Amino acid sequence: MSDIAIKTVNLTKRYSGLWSKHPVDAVKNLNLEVYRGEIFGFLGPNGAGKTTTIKILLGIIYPTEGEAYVLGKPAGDPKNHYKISYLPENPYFYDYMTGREILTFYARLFGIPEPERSKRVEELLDRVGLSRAADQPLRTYSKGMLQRIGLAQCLINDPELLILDEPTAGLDPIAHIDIRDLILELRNQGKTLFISSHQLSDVERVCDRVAILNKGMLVRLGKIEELLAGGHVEIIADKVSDNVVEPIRQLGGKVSLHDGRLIVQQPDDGSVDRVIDIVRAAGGHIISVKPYRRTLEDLFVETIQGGKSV
Amino acid sequence: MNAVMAIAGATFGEAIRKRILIVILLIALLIILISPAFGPFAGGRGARTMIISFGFGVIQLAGTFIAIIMCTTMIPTEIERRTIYTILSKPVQRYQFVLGKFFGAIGTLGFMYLMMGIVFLIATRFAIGEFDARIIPGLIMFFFQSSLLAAVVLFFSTFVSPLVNYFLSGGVFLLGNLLSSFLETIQRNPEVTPLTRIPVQILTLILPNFSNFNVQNPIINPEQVITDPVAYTVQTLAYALVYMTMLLVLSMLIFNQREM
Amino acid sequence: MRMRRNHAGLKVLVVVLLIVQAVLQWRIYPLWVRNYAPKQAAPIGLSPDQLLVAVAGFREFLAAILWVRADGFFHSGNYDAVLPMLRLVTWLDPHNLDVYATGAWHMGYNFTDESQRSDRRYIPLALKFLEEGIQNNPAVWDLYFEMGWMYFHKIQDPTNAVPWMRLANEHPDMIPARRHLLAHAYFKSGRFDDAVDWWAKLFLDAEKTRHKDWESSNLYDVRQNNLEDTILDILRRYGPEPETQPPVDLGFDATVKVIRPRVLLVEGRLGIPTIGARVTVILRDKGRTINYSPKALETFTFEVDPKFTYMQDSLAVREEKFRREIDMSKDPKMYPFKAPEYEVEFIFDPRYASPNVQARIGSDGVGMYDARYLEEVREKPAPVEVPKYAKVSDEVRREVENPTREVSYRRVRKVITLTREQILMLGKRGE
Ligand SMILES: Nc1ncnc2c1ncn2[C@@H]1O[C@H](COP(=O)(O)OP(=O)(O)OP(=O)(O)O)[C@@H](O)[C@H]1O
Ligand SMILES: [Mg+2]
Repeated sequence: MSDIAIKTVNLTKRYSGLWSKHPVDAVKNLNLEVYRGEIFGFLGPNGAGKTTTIKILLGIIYPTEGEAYVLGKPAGDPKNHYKISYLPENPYFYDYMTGREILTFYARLFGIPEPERSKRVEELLDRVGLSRAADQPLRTYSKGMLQRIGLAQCLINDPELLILDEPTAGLDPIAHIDIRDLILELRNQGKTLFISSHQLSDVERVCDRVAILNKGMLVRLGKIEELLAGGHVEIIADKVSDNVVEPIRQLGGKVSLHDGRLIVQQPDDGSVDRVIDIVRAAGGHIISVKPYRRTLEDLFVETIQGGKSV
Repeated sequence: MNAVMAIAGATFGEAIRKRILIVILLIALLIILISPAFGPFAGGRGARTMIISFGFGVIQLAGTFIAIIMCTTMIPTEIERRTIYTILSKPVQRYQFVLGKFFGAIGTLGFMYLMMGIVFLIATRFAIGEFDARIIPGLIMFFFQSSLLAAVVLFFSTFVSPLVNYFLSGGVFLLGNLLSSFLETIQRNPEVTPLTRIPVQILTLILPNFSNFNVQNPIINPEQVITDPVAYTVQTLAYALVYMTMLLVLSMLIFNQREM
Repeated sequence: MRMRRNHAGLKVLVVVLLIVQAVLQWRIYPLWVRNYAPKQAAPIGLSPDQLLVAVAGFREFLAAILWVRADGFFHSGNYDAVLPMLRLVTWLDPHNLDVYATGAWHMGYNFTDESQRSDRRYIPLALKFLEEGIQNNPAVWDLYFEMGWMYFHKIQDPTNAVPWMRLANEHPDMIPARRHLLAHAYFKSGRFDDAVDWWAKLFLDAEKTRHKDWESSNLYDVRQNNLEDTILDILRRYGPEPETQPPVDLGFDATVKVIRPRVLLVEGRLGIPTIGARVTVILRDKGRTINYSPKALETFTFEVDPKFTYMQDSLAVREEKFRREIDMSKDPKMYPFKAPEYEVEFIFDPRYASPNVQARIGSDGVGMYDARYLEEVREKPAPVEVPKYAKVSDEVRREVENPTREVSYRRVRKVITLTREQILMLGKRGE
């Protein structure tokens, strides 16, 4: 068994509507590898092509060019679907059914026999906290409850790979945390999670690796620490004389000096010690050394504004 | 098969809750119930003719509307509200989805026909004083007619929008009801050249022939003697099954190519 | 990569299914035509919404509704409105036997003049209508019977009633009492042997079920009496010492006088000693008569020739004389008098005379004689085209399609010619 859960090779999806003159490349030459057991963040602004990629992975649409593999098999292979699950963005279900009925329905799609089926449905209702609303029709559910039912239907087959499209969209902060905890719990159980999102704050905390997609193209890919590496450290010192400015600048930092107060914004690349040495050697007095890490938000904005591809 | 039945069940559950379908059913039931009121109006044997033919007419019309309205939107709404994504991401093949939808539609039609049939039998029982069992085969024929129509509508729904589908399937239904009599008229007229006759003949062989199922007349006119009724019924039902299967396979082929 | 698969197998399956359904349809179609097809071309005058309903299951209902309305017209005497109704109703529901039977009866009997004389120009339409009904309902006895009855009773042509009665009798579900009419038709048309055979057959049939119920035993009695009476009649009239001999000299004569414009006084003499003889008088365009056969009309229509004058009446003979004033002035539609010349025909036909008259002269007229006007009529029934799907034995089919049996009877007939001027009393006074 390979340790790659998802792999795409030069994946391209072109939408050329019957009447539209300009075909849209929703996904363009996408090369991705998602490892087993990781939480993979699939990020990008609206219209980046995230949902399109996911639909290809599920075999709901077909690629124009290139290939996609899921759990070692070509995307869309129905046998694979016993091992994966999918939460669509803004999920909608047969709303005349109750929570229990809809989960039973999905369980039947997997051919899970009774009494196993009922047992699992009850477990899941409990796990997503909907036991009390289980006999209410879905049309009375709130958005958060629907999202939880969505997650429950994702777990019904105890999947190896979960593909979640915007799992936190439209939810309040508490629900965010609930879902984030669930994601982490699933990772701890050894499952692979492929999560698309344009909301960053929750995801940055849990993703092992992220890919950033823009206009259908992959613009960034890597471990989260690596992508966020290259933050800076702010060094503030007092009673510093003018002659330190030039040597520090040569180390690559941004330097400003007013009335003996020095503020250096030094790249976090091991040269910080040297800056401190220079300041001390010149009789300066260090007030603070404070690291500023890059956020995913910064990275996101940077890459998309830069528009460059890896 | 479990998946097909689950989808069929969900489709059935949704269809019988659809307001427009319920309204059609209730109107049909009400009209059938009050149809014995026509009896005294005609008197004697005419009363029987009137009540039975009217009941059949109402049931066929209701069946037609139910089949068209139900099936035009059945697959498109699944795509529109994306319920289909969660289904197809489960171990469900597209052909199973189409099959499940079709069986759901047939189940709904069967339920509606059962309701209308029971009320019809009761109404005629009281109106003409006898339980006329010959009504039942007539109902079964109409049920198959509606089922074939449902298959036609479902087939179109895999590649045209609901609005277009209404007109398309409505047109096919009318044509499929008229072609045979048209051909018959043409064949009896010696002035019609083969140039006109042959295309009509070919069309009759290709298009779904709904008039095959309109066998109410001998039931309404009880003196009629039918030659080979068993052979006719068997062949017509076989025709319906073969034609529906063909449409289903075609629907699956098209649906399989489809992007959603 | 799982791309869109080709599914060649499924495509082949579709083609196979297409062929199979076409083959099935090919086989269903003839059965459908035979059993279920509405067989008339759509009549014009149906509004689009009626048409729409007509294609749905409401055909027969619409027909029933229209039929109820037609019934209203019958009662209100609006006979002209009934005819288009009949057309519409039978188009919508060609298997409603009532409509054909009642419609034909209506055309045959209901159009009359002020003196209750039938407008016989409508009779061919009635027969044509019945013929259409038979084509649409070839496996049902009713309309064959109606046709036979029309010949037997209305037209008084027993010879041509026979083939239709034969066809009706081929159906096992025919009402038993109605089967007697074939024997009567045989007898009246002069086929005495066939009449006896048929009564004998009916009698034997009834014998089998005679103990079933009261009705069956009654049927048995009736048939027995009829069989005996028929044999007795034949023996008395045509046997070794026939009561019909020597022949009665009728001394038949008739005159016609125009007493007012379009009013004729007809009188004459017929030397029959007992009462119950009737003389038929016919006034018609010269050289033209009514061909009743349904084949005479190309297609069914509700139109009669408005220029054709045809009057027929039947006069009772009392004390060897007959006389009647025939007023045709009040019905210009029925008696348009457009032809230049007219023939007035006086006929005494013994076949429809009363039993006591027939006892003396025979139903075929062997016991009558007339020096001037006696005619010997020899005829065969007109060939009847049996519908393709009729349930009729080959023997009967052959017999009615190619009638070979010739019958003959005697009658007296005198023809007088009048001009239009004479009847309308234009110019000089009438005769
Ligand atoms: N069925 C379709 N036909 C034509 N164009 C489409 C279709 N589906 C998506 N697109 C286009 O493809 C592009 C990518 O869409 P996609 O839904 O994959 O974006 P996304 O990354 O999921 O965005 P969001 O965050 O808004 O969900 C968009 O420009 C969209 O307009
Ligand atoms: Mg999306």
